[in-house]
Amino acid sequence: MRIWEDAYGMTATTLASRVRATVPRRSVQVTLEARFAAFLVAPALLAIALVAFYPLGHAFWLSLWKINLRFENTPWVFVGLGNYVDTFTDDPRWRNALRVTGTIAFTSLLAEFVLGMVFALVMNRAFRGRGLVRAAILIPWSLTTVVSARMWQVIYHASYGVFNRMLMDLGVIDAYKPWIISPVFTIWAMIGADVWKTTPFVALLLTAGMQLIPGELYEAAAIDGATAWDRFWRITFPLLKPTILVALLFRMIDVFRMLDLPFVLTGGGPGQATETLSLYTYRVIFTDLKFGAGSALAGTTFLLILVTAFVFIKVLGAPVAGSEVER
Amino acid sequence: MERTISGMTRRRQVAWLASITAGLAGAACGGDAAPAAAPPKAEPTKAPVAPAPTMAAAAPAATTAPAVAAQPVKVTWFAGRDTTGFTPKQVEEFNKSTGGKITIDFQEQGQQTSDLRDKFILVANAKDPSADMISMDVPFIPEFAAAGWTIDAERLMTGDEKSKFFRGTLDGATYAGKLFAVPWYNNGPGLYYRKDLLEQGGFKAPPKTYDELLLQAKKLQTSDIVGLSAQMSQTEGGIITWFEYLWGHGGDLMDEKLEVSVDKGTAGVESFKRLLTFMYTEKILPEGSLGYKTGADAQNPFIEGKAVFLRQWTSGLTQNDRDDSKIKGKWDVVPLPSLKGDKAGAGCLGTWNLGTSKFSRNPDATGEAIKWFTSQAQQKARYLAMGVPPCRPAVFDDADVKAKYSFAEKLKGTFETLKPRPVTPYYGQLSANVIQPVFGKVSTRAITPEEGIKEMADGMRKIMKG
Repeated sequence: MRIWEDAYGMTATTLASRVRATVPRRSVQVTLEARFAAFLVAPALLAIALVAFYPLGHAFWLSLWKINLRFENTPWVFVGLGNYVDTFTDDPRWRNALRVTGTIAFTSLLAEFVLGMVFALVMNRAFRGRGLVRAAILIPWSLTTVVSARMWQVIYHASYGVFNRMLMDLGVIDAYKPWIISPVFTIWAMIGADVWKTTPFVALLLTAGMQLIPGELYEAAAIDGATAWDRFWRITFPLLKPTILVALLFRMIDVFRMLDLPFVLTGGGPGQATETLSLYTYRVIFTDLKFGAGSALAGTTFLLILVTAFVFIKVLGAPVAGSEVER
Repeated sequence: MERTISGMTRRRQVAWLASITAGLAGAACGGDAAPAAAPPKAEPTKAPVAPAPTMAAAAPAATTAPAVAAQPVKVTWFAGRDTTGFTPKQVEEFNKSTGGKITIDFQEQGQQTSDLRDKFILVANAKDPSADMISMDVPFIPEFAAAGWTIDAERLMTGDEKSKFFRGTLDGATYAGKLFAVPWYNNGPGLYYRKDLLEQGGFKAPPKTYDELLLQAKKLQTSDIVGLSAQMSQTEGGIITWFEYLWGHGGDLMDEKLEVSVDKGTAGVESFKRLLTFMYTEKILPEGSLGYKTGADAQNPFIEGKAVFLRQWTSGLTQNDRDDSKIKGKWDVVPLPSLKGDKAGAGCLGTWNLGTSKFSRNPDATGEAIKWFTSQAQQKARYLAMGVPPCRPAVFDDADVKAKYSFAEKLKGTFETLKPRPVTPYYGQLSANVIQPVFGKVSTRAITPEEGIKEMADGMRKIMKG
């Protein structure tokens, strides 16, 4: 129950103990009931094994070979972990993709978290037209990434983009700039498009988390004379921590998978300035047809996601599942 | 240790969930490549024209279609984008002409050449029969032939048929001594210019050298009209713009032995520097051209009357006179300028060809369609309707063509001198992984031309090693 104690902290000890009291003791014997439960979840586990573990295993198997389908009848050569060694030691393009992905992960997540929290606080308040505001905030998230990427392409357009027009009118620039074809600006333009698209997702998760916080805590705090800031910092924020971690974890994984936005918006360019890990992997596999090397890249990305997920769940204690049961 | 799933400890449960979360994400980002990678390691080569037994069984009407003709044979055509809408009309006409025996399903595969290439590679890798006929850019020929994805087109060129095509177009469709596709329409660049503006500026002749181009463009451009428009994006079209300057400075990507030679001499650096000068120092080439992904993007400002000069494929000429054009009768076209002006600048061979997928179930019907589309009558129809130049010299001598296009005679000569991109199966990879990104970096000044040429040469050599 460490997570829950942390989460509720000093302000909510009573609630925490109440929760603890309702949780039944773990039964020592493996009952018939447990076996039956295992039988019931078996189909789901089988489905997961088929759609997640089988491709994963197969991709790992492929990553141990040198496979080039560029030429007819080229034999497969077994190279063991050679593809991974190459990736780590002799692949500047991978290091570049890692840097790009890392930059996006850090800045995008930070911006999305701050903005998402603001939106969530707005969406969580009762006021006239709340439904309208909620819908408006969620529109970007409901758009297909390819569509929104196309839209941003037009917004950032070098000759007729509205972004250029706005900056001109504000006097920030004195000539139209090709924002998504610049070695300096492109990645930030792309992060802007990503934040616009996914902040609603973070806001949605945070709103859901906020609605689980009992209203009487705020009432009690108000009676005790706590300011709005105190209420946010001592009640909302700590009780929301599990939700925040889940939201950040999901977004982090999304960034590792980010393919559609750079694919459509920038094509990874200029040069390789916005080539993410997934885009690089995709290209090695589908346009270079190096299935072995590409699978090794996918495997490497998988390891990075695994470590990230582990840190979030194990070290920071994000309740991906399980804890919800206790609510 | 409170609630658990199926008796798992919380510790195990957490680790388990972590691995599923990551597993799903990993599968989504790279793992789904796996099923496509399933083809057996060394499949014996099959005779190209005869489909595998299972395939024949699945499509009984396949090769004997004309005789049986109970069901129309469907030929799926993987093509690039046709903005004029003429090809679909031609397809209809073809479908009628066969009396319902063969019908073509015309499928555009995206706006850029690379979209079509990526899509066909995907299909061919899965040995999928969903593509029969493929529109092929010159570099596709060696790439697809070496991978064993297309069948040779010698069968379609009987008698003296070959002598009726431009030599260069056939060379571009040949790999390892065999013709792999039939030249369908021709393309090469020209320097479009505004007659009226040059006259007003007192220039008697369009530029023959790069320096003259710069001089005239700079003199004639205004705050509203750019000096020069050209496709400069990080695409195949963009790097071709640069190739022509590279060739113009006496350099090349590879020598005759297909060894990387882009870093030999100074042509590489000088050609980059010239483009950078045009763009950033003299500002005749707008920075916005870095975003022109298609030839049409580069041509639009010209048609709107907002460019003095334009480097564009001659297939675009008729667009200058389209209904909404602001420059009707005010333009002309000449061969590209060169360094010294003693001869026309080297232009890139941009023929498009029609080939047959090896995994097609209907190679014979596809062959019929290819013959029809590349026939003299259809190349002429296409030229008259779309302004897309033919691969058969005889079309230029046709009376209808001469009557419609005053420049046809002049163009005919330029097709004899076009230069192909390196004819190697590696070209697609070289272009996508090295040349395009380096071009993107140099043209946006992320790196210097010297650094660019070195990076390009190193990268190309690495890929050529395999």
